[in-house]
Amino acid sequence: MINNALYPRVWSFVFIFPAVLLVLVFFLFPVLFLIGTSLTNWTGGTFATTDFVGVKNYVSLGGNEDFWASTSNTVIWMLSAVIIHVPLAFLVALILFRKPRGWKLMRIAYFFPQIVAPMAMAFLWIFIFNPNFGVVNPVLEGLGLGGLRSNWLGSPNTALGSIIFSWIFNIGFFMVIFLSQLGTIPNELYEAAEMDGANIVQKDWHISLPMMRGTIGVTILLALTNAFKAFELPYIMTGGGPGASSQILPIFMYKQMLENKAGRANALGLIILVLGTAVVLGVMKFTRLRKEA
Amino acid sequence: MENALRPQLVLRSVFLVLKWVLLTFLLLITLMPLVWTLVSSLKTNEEIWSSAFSLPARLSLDNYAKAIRLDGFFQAFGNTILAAVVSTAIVGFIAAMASFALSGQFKGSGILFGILIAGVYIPINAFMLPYFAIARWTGLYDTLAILIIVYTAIGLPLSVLIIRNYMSTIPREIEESALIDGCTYPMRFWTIILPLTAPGIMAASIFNFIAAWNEFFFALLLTVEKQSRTLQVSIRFFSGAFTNDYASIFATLVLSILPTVIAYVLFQNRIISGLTSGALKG
Repeated sequence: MINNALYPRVWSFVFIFPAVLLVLVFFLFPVLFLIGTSLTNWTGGTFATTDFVGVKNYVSLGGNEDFWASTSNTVIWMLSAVIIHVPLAFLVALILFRKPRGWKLMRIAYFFPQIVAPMAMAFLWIFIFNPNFGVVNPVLEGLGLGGLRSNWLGSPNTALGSIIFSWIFNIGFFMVIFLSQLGTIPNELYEAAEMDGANIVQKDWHISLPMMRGTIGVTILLALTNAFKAFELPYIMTGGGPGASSQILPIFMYKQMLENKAGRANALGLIILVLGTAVVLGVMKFTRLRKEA
Repeated sequence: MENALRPQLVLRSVFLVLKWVLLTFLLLITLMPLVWTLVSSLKTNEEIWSSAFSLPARLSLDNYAKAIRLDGFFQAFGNTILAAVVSTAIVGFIAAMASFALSGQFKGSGILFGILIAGVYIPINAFMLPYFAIARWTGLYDTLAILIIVYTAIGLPLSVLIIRNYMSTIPREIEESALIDGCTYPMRFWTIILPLTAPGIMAASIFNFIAAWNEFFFALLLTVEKQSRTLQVSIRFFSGAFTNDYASIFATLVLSILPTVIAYVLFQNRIISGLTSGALKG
């Protein structure tokens, strides 16, 4: 007979073991692997010819123009998410929360692009931006803006902007999160404000916004993390080009790997990881997420 | 009195107009690309080239016939179904087991929960070379098995978050009464907790299925040959096969997104409630 107190403990260990094993192998080990190999001249193949090179990979990244271009593109990507994407999702959630005509249909429609594979979306937007048979140039002409005609993805001035345009209005995911959290705000708060003669804008500014602080923090976190995860859209739409004009860090890292600079790619991976963690901790502190979690 | 109200009235109408302009614009920009693709997939190449907005002169599924005759189309479709379904099933089960163990509230269970879900915020493609190395070392490089394992690992953090949050809403009394009845630990999990947690597991599974179906990066990284290629990777080869036959590429794209669209239409309420019930409270 097994000891009664010990019995559930042993079982809970057994039950949690597969999950812990996955985390050890696919989340913890990779971090150690990145730290280790980023200090070597590993090419991606055998370790027999691999030597310790110290921080050389990091130094060479610092002097690499493409690295800085990719970093600044990633920052632009993130800023677009924080300044346009998330606030737009919040604004639309506030509108739909009052249940205007057709709000259910809109909720479904706005979410729709986000269940479609990024791969398919990338192809689709290539065709939309295509200067020969795409729709962007004809639409601009129809609006009397024919002067803005451009080879959108083929020009270094418009490539990054066009890629950002292709995802920035896909607000469904964050909008649904906001909608659900708006529902948890006690109605009495709004009623009290109404008695004081507050209008809709004042109510949202003084009640909805502060009450949603934690949720806004979560969405900003996810939006920023997405910028480090994004790959398909730039990879398929422009390959990061022309030049490095639409290259973001994950694309740069992938290219380093293809060039057999595995050590340097992993230095880059670690930089992405550290930046990502710093951003997460920073936003958490800023929005006092931890307190509310 | 009337005069004092007028500016507010004007402001109100301006807001109203702006509101509907915004809502309509978003409706157009989210739906039009997909509608345009669908319409274009029914056109001939001549029609596509002559006008971006025209409707097809006659309805024909020729482009679709060409798409499914592509070399490796059904293989890729089958591979994707297999990878998505198997990884979704495994990760749902493992996450449910872990959530049940964590509900025991043993010492350190809070920290363990934090470690298991931390991956939600990790930019996972920074791990491309470590995963590549793991695939090489295990001899699983260029197999569906490594994709299934990787998708299981990637899906774990969000699944634990959703399922654990859902499980915590189950009243403790139900479980305690089972304990008194002499139910063993695995029995309690299998006969009581698992059925009660089914909606939470379902919500996580829909997410995992769609994510696995749409996954491109690791499929590109970890597979090469036709027999292990998924749909997302194959699309590039298909588009190469149809050099200037855009109509057929459109048809291939429509076929590739059909399963997730069906999943979304069938389960859109669950997707939304999955998001609201637990996913992002933490």
